[in-house]
Amino acid sequence: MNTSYLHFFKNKRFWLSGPATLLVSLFFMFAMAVWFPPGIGNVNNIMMPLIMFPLIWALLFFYTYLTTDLRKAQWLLVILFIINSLILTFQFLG
Amino acid sequence: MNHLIVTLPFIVFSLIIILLLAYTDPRRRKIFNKTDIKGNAAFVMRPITRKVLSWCLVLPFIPLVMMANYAGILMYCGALTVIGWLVSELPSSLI
Amino acid sequence: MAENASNIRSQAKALLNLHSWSGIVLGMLLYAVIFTGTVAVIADEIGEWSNSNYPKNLLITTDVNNTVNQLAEITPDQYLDEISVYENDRQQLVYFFHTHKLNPSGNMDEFGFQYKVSPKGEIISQQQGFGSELFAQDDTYALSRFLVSIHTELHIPSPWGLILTGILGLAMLIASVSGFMMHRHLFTDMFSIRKQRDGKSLKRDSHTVAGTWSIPFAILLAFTGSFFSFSDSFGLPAMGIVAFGGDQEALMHTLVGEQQQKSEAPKDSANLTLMIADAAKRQSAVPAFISISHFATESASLLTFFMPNEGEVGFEQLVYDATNGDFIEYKPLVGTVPSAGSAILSLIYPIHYGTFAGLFSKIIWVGLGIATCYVTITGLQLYAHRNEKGEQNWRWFSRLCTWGFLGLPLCSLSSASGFFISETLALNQSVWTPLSFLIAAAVVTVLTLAIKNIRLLSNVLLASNGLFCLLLPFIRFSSSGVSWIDAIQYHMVSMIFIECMLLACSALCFYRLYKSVQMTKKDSVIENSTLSSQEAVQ
Repeated sequence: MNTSYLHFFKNKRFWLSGPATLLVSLFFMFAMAVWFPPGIGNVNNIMMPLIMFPLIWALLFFYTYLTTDLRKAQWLLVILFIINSLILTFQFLG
Repeated sequence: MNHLIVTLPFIVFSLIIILLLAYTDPRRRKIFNKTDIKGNAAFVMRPITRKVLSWCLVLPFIPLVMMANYAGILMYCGALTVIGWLVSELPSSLI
Repeated sequence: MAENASNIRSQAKALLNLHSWSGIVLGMLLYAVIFTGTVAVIADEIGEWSNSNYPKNLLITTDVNNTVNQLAEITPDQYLDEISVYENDRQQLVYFFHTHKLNPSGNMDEFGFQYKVSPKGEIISQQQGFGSELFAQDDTYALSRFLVSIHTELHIPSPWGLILTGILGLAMLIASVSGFMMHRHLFTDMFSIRKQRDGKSLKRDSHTVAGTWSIPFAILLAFTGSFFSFSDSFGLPAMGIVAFGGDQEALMHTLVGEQQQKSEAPKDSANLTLMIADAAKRQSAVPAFISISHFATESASLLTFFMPNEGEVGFEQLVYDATNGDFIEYKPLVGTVPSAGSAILSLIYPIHYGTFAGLFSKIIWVGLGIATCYVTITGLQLYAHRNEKGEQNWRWFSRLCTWGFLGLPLCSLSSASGFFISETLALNQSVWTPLSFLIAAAVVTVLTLAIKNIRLLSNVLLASNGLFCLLLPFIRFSSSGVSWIDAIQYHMVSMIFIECMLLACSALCFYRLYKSVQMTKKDSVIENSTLSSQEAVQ
């Protein structure tokens, strides 16, 4: 009984659309605060990532959930993760 | 206050169009004919007329944009949604 | 070709799974948030109604300048940093002389002296404390504050409540987008609700039709809602860490659009009353609140805040130089100059709460809320109904649905009664409003567990809802003594609106009850006749 309910833990798609998507979209939001042009009002780099976060998450979620090519989705997430964490590392260390 | 009164006629307009669309909806008619309603078939519309009629729902946006009544546009969209739902929920004996 | 077709089929199945699971797991909480969200749309009206009040526009009819100067003399200088003034629902102006510092829970907060002043300029009460605490203890807003707080954070401690409502927003986003994607006959099925043999609407059709119509706004409201929750709970502080190296004060200064270093050299301020009158004339409206920064210094300024007006959707802020009374600018919501971020932000709030065109837009937004509630209710009932047939184990789900769907409105009505009764008995309204909610919740839970027949249970809850809706206007009248004749005489629009809504809801409840009782009778007649025919055969 229990194993059938917990079956989705073994599913790769669950890990991709769940935790991985959440992590990548959070990193995306944080990194966006660094590269997004602040504009003359000097607030766009703060407001835009906050507004975009639910949209980015939803886009990535539906993509990873519906795609047939899981490997491609996986690599997309990995690349996004690396790029954004590099941006954040540079922001904090250099 | 003026911009609210201006929006009202458009909402009434959308109500009339949606009532017409619901009344002539072929699928709605088929379902009700099957169960209980008789004599509803008096008024028939061609699919193309229905299409034109539904595009009419977009028309109010033109004057509302021209008047820069953005609150009116939002209210019109919201009202359209609520009216559509309520009209579909009306019992078949009414429409 | 065949592979393509099977792909589409498996995708449709995946979408259906997603739609059902996002609904089932979070559906009941989502219903709580949507229902109280519908109530939150008219929170201001509920505030006025619960105090039997109507706005007296005290900001432009009293001498604010005189009062501020008098209060400034008795207030310690450090709290003259900022002075906010607004009219509360008990015909008083609330003056809050404050500065900013960290509160016990570690958040930046306002701290200072709060005075409540009568229209004649007498100080009615004086309190010192953090802004958030003072607001949480204010009996005036006990009812509306309690109901709105269910919507924003389900009364779970910050930031977890906000994070949960944010997740619920995302779940609603998933449910509406997947619902939209998997519905193949979106336009052809828009008006058709099939009937069951007993004349009731087919739940699946009710669900899809209401869903189809409300999809655009469901997506919009879910998106704006999750933005509010996430940016308040962790988004803004995180932005402060990334963009300002952790300097939250610098972040706040950038958002408010103020220089960090200002001249504090003393200088007399110009007449505030004249500036407020000028702002009111420019906007042809009364400001919702005003805020005076650095009073009686060289850098004194006055900000007047207006609700959307004249066909606009966003808020308006007019800033004056308080040293000479000159109008400076229309200030954007965030930052110093207009920007895309500020424009979007000033749209999001009115769009989410429907507060851009007074009662008119609020009525439409309440309609949207009811439609979305209906989609959630029919969706969960549909699931309960399907599983109930197959498995005995799922009976509890139907019971849970009845408990939640009829119990929450009943508890909210009970909290309103608690508010009025505690006022009459001179008890603490901020305590008794939530307590009455909890008492009602306990009673509903006991009833749900005790009454075996689900139909009887739902009838009992429906009847109680109808009774409360019918009684509340009388309870309010007995506690405040303000009758409908007074309401019409003083143009108390909000009060009349809320009471008409209550009476309409009561009528609806009793109508549904009548229908349900009739249905039960019909069923028992059919059952009896089948039984007697079986007996005849035997």
